[in-house]
Amino acid sequence: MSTLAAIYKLTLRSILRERVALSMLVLLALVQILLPMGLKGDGTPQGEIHMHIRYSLGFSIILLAGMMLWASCASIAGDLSSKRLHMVLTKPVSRAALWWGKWLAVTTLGTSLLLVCGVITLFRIQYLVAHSDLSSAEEEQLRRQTLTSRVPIDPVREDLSPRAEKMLKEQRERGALPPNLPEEVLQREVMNYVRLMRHAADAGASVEWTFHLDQPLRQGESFQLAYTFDGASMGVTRLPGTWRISTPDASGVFTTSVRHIPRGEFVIPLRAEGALAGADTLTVRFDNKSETSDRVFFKPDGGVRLYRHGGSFVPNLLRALLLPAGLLALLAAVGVSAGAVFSLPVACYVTAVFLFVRAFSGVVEDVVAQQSSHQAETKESFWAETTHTARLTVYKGILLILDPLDVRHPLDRVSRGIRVSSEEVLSTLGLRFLPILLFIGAGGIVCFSRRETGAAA
Amino acid sequence: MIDDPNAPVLYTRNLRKTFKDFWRRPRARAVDGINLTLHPGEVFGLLGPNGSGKSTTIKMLLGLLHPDGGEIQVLGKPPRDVRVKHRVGYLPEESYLYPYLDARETLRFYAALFGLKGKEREQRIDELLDMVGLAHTGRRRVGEFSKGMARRIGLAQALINDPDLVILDEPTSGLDPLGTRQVKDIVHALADKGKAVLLSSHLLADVEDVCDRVSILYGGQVRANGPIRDLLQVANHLQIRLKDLEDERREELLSTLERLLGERPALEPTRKDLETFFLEVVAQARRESGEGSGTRQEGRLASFLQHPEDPPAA
Repeated sequence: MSTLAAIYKLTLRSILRERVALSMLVLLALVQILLPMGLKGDGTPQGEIHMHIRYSLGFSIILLAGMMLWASCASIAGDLSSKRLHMVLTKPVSRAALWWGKWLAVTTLGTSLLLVCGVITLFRIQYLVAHSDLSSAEEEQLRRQTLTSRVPIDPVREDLSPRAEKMLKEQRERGALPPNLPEEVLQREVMNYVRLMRHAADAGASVEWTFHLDQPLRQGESFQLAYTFDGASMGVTRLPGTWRISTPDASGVFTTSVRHIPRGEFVIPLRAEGALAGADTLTVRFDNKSETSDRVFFKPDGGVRLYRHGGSFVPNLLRALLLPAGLLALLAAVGVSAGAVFSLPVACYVTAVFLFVRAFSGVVEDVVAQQSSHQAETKESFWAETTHTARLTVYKGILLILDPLDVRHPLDRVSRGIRVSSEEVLSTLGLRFLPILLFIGAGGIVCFSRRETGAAA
Repeated sequence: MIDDPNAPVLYTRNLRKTFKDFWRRPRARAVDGINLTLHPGEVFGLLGPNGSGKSTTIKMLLGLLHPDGGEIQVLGKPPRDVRVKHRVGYLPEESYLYPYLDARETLRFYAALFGLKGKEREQRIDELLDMVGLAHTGRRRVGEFSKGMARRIGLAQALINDPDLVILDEPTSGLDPLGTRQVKDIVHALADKGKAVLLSSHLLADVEDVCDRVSILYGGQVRANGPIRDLLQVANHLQIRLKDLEDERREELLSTLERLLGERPALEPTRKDLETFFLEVVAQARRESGEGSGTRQEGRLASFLQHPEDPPAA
């Protein structure tokens, strides 16, 4: 244990003495101070808080990742090239102890700095709220929608396939389908249409959703109905409607009228009273009261949600930070292992590839979706199709490898007051990241053990 | 302590090592069938010109390189066995130290790698710093040390664990004659205590002074091997030393020898070596004018390195 501790302490000290690391720290401090001054969002406190968390803190994480990339690769590769590690390797230190000591030091530093950035962001948000000219109602709304931890509940997903098949059949009988499109594309487009219309209401009509709750509502419990919608008409028009929340047997009913310009998310605060208390299933209905022919569309995914209170903002932010911390720990593992196998420049390159592929996995997803769609829609020559398929397979392989690393934008969720649950954090860190970490570590240690560290560079 | 005093501390048989390029093609045959044996209490010199395979051999003994063939054992085990390293001390050709640590922190770090803790660790560090004349350096970083000072701290870290086998690569490089003498004294003391010392150096006078046996390598092979006394003996030559001979008696002796041998023998005054003379001058100067700057006069040998029968400190 003393060996591990000695390596850990020395590595920490080494990192903090490296000019590259110090430059990154200075950049980090500048980002924390200067970036929030330039980012104002949409001018609302919610927007500004979103900017602080999503972009200021997010950019800090990127900088931290850069610093850890260098530090992790140099921890072994740098010491090997300077031959300082030769002196250590002639002592009774196992390669495993060396690897773990180096990894622990890099990870501790990175996650500690991440925590510091999180605390600074938190203080900045509290300062912002305390010094904003908000009315008490606006401040209440801020604390209810943003500076909180809400558990989202999505409506029951219906199986729309029968409806889509029926529509496809009707359209085909009427001869209304384009003649040259592949069947797969037709089915997809019809399904998209059916889903869109399922969550739409014409003027004078209604649309309804059912929500199942894990736990019945408690008497007096506060919860929220949140929705985003759009109108069919052009221009800025206020769309009127009525929301009705009830139990399935209609014994408890809550109604409210609204009139909004479709922009952003709207939240209706609710309270479980009367027959709503104790309900574990709710029916939510929107009546479109438009006097013109404006059809109202709600997004099929997340357009209408219920939110229950799930804790407070600060623990939620700290929980959310654990997920990027886990990713940073994985990055450190890749870097230390790469440094144990390759020279410093090659190790940095390999680790950077991992970092960029992970950072731009969203782009890879989009490319896969577009390429799949393009392949389904167009007829190509055999070789073109084969190349296309091979390329798609590679991209899908990359996505498969990256899938365990997907943490579903925790900072974005926190900035919108959505809870990042402890269960999610623990399962992500324990069941997904930890096995990957152990795999990378074992691989690095084995390769390091077989490496001839005494060979000339 | 070495378990069996008769068992070799170090053993290689037909040791081979060829460096290959990225495509696994042989590039250079660095070591080609080396046989070495080293016993407790022995000081063994590994000599050879640049590129003869000395460093490669040492690195294989330390587990930093994998041999391509042959047999190699250090303290009865493969060199990469971590348990072996508890009992080995190594001073590399260059002291690759962490430049931002001071002397004490450097030794503390290496001591921690051996599992040394607390009072025992601090006591050893104090004695070693005193022994190598670096106790006064305080918080001065190792990166600011002169080459000689860096060698001294390197030597100290090689001895921190009271090793049974000490491998010294150019131990006197960069040291002044005082430091060189001290290193030689330390080597003798280690051997007296039953440690085995493997020494590699280009400074042949130093090797001659301390080593019991040497191997001379060239092209990765052993070209000469044996006790120094036997290797350096010049056949058919005899040296007689005489003291306090008056001119008359000297002339009489020479004439007698000339008569017996048929030729007049060459006569030269006995000379002391330059190192001995230097040390005498410096010792005298110290008595007259005290310590200068830089490395201080080295203290006595660290207690844990001394032979149990050595007299205690005055």
